[in-house]
Amino acid sequence: MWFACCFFAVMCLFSEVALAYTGVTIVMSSKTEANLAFVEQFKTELAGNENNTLNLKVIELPARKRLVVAENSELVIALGAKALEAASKLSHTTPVLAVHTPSLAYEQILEKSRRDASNMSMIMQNQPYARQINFIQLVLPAAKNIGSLVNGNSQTYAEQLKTQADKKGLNVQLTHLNDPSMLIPELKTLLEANDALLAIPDTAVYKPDTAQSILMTSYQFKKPVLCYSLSYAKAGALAALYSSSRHLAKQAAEIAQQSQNAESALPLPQAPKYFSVYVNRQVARLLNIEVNKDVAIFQELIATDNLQNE
Amino acid sequence: MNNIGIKARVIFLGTVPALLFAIILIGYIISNIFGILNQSLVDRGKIIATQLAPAAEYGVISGNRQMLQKLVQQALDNEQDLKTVMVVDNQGLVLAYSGQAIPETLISKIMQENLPEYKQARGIIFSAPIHRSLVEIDDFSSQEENTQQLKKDFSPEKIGQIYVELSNQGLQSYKLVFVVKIASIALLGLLLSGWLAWRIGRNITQPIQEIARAVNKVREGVLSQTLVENSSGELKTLQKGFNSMSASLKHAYDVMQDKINDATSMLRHQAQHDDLTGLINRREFEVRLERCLKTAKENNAKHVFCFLDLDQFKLVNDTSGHIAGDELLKQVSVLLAIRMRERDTLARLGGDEFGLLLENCTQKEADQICSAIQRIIRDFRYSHDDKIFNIGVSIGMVVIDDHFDSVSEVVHAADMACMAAKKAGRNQTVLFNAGDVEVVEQKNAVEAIADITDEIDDDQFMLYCQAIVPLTPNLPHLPNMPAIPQQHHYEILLRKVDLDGKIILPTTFIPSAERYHLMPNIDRWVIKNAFIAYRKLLDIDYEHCNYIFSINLSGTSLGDQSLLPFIREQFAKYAIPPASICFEITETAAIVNLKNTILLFNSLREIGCKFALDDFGSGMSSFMYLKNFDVDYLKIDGAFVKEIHQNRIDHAMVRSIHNVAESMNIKTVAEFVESDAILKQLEIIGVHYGQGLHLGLPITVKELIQQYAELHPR
Repeated sequence: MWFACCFFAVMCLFSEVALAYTGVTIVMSSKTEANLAFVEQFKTELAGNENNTLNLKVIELPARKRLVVAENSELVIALGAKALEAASKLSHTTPVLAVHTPSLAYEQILEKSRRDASNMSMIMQNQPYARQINFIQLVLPAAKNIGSLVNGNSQTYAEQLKTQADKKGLNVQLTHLNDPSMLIPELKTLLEANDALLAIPDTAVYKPDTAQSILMTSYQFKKPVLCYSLSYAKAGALAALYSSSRHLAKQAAEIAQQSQNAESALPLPQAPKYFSVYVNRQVARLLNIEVNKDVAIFQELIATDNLQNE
Repeated sequence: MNNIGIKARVIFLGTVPALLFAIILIGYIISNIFGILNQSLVDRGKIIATQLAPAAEYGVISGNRQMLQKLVQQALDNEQDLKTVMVVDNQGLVLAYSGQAIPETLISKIMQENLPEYKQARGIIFSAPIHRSLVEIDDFSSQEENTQQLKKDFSPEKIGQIYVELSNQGLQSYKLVFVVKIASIALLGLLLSGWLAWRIGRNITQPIQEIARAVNKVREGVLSQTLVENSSGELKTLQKGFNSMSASLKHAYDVMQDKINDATSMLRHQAQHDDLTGLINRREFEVRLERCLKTAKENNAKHVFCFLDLDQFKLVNDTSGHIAGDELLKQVSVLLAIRMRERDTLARLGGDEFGLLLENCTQKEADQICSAIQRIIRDFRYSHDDKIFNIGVSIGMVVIDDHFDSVSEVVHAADMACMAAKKAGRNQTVLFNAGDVEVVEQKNAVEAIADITDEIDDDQFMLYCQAIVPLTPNLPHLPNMPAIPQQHHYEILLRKVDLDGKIILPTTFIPSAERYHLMPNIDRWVIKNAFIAYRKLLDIDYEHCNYIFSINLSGTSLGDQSLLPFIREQFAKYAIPPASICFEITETAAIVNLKNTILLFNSLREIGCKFALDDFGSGMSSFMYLKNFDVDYLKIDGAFVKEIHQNRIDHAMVRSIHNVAESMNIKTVAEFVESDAILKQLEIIGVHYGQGLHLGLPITVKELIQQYAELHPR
């Protein structure tokens, strides 16, 4: 009897050891186009590196049981807040990198999971302040006053941006939108006083059902909207400074390889490294705004980034 | 449908299927096209509403009424048939509208019932919700839970409603025009098919119409109708058949027409001629008489009309029967006819009366002709059943001139002249002359009875009586009667009172009364009033009333079946002893009505009446018939009595009559006792009773009653 019990315990231990994984695990809440693009790009990046020894596993969130597989992974990349929340519950020895997650949500999960910067980090959604300010000035060189609607979600970033912009001679006026029904009036007031509207990621303000109103009102005022996503720009904003899933996957792959090679703690949360620029030429024509070529703007931004990094 | 012609039927046949087809096709087309048009209107309305709804989204969100107004106005201007475009927010507040405002009640109803379309009489209201649209603005939106949730629970927020009223008037007008066009095309098609049917059907209808026309002609009587046999098949059979039938019909018609002509001629002959003698009848004779009267008046022509009445014909008829009488008439007709001139017209006017119309004839010629006729008739001997009869003819002659106004006047005048001839002794010719005594008398006689009708007034006649006086003291007892004391026997005589109160003797009016069948009524009047008179006598003194009233009955009354009941009724009514009444009947009347007379005699004798045979001896076979009648009295004809004292034959006749009567236990009565010499002769013979002016003048019955009353005062 004793022997039998010992054998069972050893078998269970062996089983756990057998389940342990040493590669990178990507956890996604669902197979969206963006997530799949991320995975595909991530694989491409790994394959492109001759020194890579990392294996890759991709887990879809509803298969909760398999999340155990992620335990002891070299790195768990959580795509989205929901995936992050699940991944955060893994052993603290398993580092977790958050992608596609708003900063506020990241902060809340981090706090809740009692992890620290050593085993949990993120690639932020917001572009670096300097790049954002530079982008505004490159697209609308004549603009002096930029307005932006903000809420609790984006307030910290916005205020930092405003501070940084001031230094660059650009006035950013922030209007807090607490009551959604006041969107149009507040927007009108803001547009009347500024040269353009800067949209920054904030799900409380910039969401699908308000997009039409914001775009139409700004168009009514003949004021352009500068935004943070390709979709927004295609929907009617003048120009977008954005990082796609592939950009983020490339950055995440770099982090994974760096963390493998260095065997050190995860880097601190960082802004998107790679980005793109898109100008909606139709909107530019309608608003009668002369905008430099996308490539030129992009190169200018790269150049400025490199200069700052140096 | 049963009364229409073949042409109409063919056209009907050609157009009705086309009409039915057209109706079905038009119905189908209209139904489909109207359905499509209606659906297209609905679709259009829906499209306009659903297209306007997103366009109005921003205006509603932003509350920009100016923008919305511009939108709805633009829609109204650009879209045909659009009556109203209205934008309301989700609270029902009207933000903008153009066109005719839709009533709030209607809007609230559409909103409450969430109707996508609401049909009205003159249009349809379409409504479409205005939703807040979603725009994808996040590249990683699916990663964001809020966004995910928003998409998952997406139920577009309704921020307002757009109403579009689309008028259907244009569509209705279009439909109307469409229907008119379709109907016009159909009508045109029908006319075309009708025309084609007529054209094609003409080959059939024309021969049939020709046949129908020919049949109509035949119906109208044109039997010589024939058809050209130019068709084929059944139509040719019809044409041939018609021609054959027409020919048969014509032949049958001709044969029938011949028969009809023959029958008509026969009828015409019968209508104009007398069946018995073959002479012209009275109707045709009067026509010719009329013609003559006309020529007399217009051309002053002279014609003569003779009215011929056979004498003693009645005797032949009565004694040898009607067949003998008819045969006599035939023979007389032949006799007369062969003596006629070419232009003379001989006709039988009725009974034994003949008419002779002598056109363009002088009176002298007429006299000669009449004389010849009378001679022929007088020389003629008619034999029947071993009996030989001599007959004569009385002729009334009238010269037709312009004095006469009508045929009836001419006939009447000739009739009167003829009666005057008879009265003058028969077998004579009397020329009518308005002033002649005979004619006047005859005229008076006729006029005397003019006022006698079925109901005789009491003041029209008077009753007289003349005593029948016993001539021998020892009279034989009457049969069936006990010997009674001397009775007062009176013959009741009749007198007519004319309008002037003048008394007219019966010889004047009786012949006319007999001729006009008035005698039965007169006889009844006499019976009734004689009974009344006798009743008065009884009422004066019943005990001593031993009168016998002799009442004359005419020959015509004997044939009256209702006379016996009448007499019985009078006896019952006035309670007259039947033995007090004696009925007198002339010998001739009794012979003529032999059967009826015997029946009457027997019936009345049963109740106790007496009978007398009047004018005995005037007839040809008096004695032969005497044994047939059970009579009480024989009244010897006055013709034998009035010259008895001078004529030995008359004396012998009276004596023989009396002897025969006495041997039969019948009492004799001699009439016309007008002198003492006559009386003596009668007494020598032994005649039982006498009656005449010498024995007692006629007195009124009234006087008789008065005398009796004086003799027997109460």
